Amino acid sequence: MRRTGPSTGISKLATGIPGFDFVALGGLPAGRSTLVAGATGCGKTVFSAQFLAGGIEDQGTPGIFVTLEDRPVAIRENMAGFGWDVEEWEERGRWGFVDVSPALDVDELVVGDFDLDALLARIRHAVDELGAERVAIDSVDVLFSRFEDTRRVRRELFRMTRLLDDMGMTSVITAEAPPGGDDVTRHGIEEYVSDNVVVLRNRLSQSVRQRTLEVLKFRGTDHQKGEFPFTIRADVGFVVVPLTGLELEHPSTEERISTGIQGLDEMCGGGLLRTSNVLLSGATGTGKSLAALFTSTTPIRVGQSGGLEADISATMDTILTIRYAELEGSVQRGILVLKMRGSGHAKELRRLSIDNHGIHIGEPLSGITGILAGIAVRDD
Amino acid sequence: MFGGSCRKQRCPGSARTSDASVGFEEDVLQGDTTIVMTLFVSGQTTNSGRAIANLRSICERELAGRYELEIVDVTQEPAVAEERKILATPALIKELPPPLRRIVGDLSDRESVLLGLELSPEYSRSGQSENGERG
Repeated sequence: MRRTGPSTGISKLATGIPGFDFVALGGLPAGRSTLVAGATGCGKTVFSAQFLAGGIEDQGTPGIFVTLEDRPVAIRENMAGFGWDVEEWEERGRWGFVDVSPALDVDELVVGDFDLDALLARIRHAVDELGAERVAIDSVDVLFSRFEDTRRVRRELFRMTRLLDDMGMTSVITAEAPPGGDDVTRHGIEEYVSDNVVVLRNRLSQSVRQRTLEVLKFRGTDHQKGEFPFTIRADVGFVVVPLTGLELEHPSTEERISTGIQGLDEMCGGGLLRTSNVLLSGATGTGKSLAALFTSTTPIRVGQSGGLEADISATMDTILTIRYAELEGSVQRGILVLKMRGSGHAKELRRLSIDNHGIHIGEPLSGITGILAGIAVRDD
Repeated sequence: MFGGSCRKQRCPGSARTSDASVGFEEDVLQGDTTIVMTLFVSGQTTNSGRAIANLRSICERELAGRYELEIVDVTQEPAVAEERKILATPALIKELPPPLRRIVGDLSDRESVLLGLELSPEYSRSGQSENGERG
């Protein structure tokens, strides 16, 4: 299924990769090549293989996998792990390999000018044989390590993408991105190989590994901006989580659920909304464990302060945040309704106290700034 | 084909070659060490023409009577290129004697080609004196 962009007429080809087509506003630019860059282990190979799988399973269109790193047998094994039978597709003429994986037993010497016409001829041949419409090339960095002449390799890569475009292929070309995230690819490929770039990242942030996908640019057609989390699941493969655009399947409701704390119900406009999810965040010791005092029908996630809110705040309907504040020698707790989707709520910070009888919401802690950061300073 | 005899089954199309290279390919009839080679080229590109010319020169001067060569055009026979895992062109494969060697490029540096084929200058000199030929 192709969708045409509003202004430019470059249509999109649905990849079938869960979540990606949403982020990419339809899929990959049809009839064009897209560079998928990421550090080793980011998931480039899975993404590119899954792109072909989507064409085969969803639309019955064959694909060619040009493998420069992994041997075909390794690709088949990996794909089997996700539930895809590549070998069967090969037998049915739906999947074809162009095997450019290294042969370790042959010494190679470069003497004079060369080109990659043989590779181009093999790709063209494979596409023609199967009537393929999708091509994956994984990954082009091998060419740079195999041939020292960088300029020549770049020129040949450019010719290759032109050939793929001329043949009407929608292609995914993978390349290595160095760690650090400053450069998109190791060899600056993104500047001349493709107008369309997707970046995969795998960062360690506060002891949590975050994998994100970003559509850096599409030439002449729209896409969502920014990074989106993704995961690679054993039974499904590559899955992008389009946080800000979740299709809410539950109808909105006005039905309220009590938190069990009267003052807090008031702050929340009468109570929590049924079917909403709530994040209760705060520094250690601020009282999150007392969330047990909330009624059993209230779904609550308890998280640490800081990064967690920033990472998943878009998914949470309601965020309550608790902070310590040291004020004139005594420790105060404040609670704030940071956000509450679908309802009006108190905007001010209220004093939170906990005693033998439970949690109590007190007077607004006005005139104090910095509580959210945990450092209270009276506004005098 | 260059117009000479071709013992191999697969010969590239004739449209590609020039008259100047007629008689270049020869079957080995004598000599202890036969160099068996395959040269992969790509249609009528400049690189292809240069590689053929350079290899012809090397073969006639250094290997007269001692070589066996097949030329394959990857644009005509991509299945062969796939089978032999050819990536770049031109590509000269020394099949025999072992070990297998691959030289990529237009073969413009004679010494490097000879090194790549593991043909020392001594070899070529002894070949010349044996045949009484000078290429």
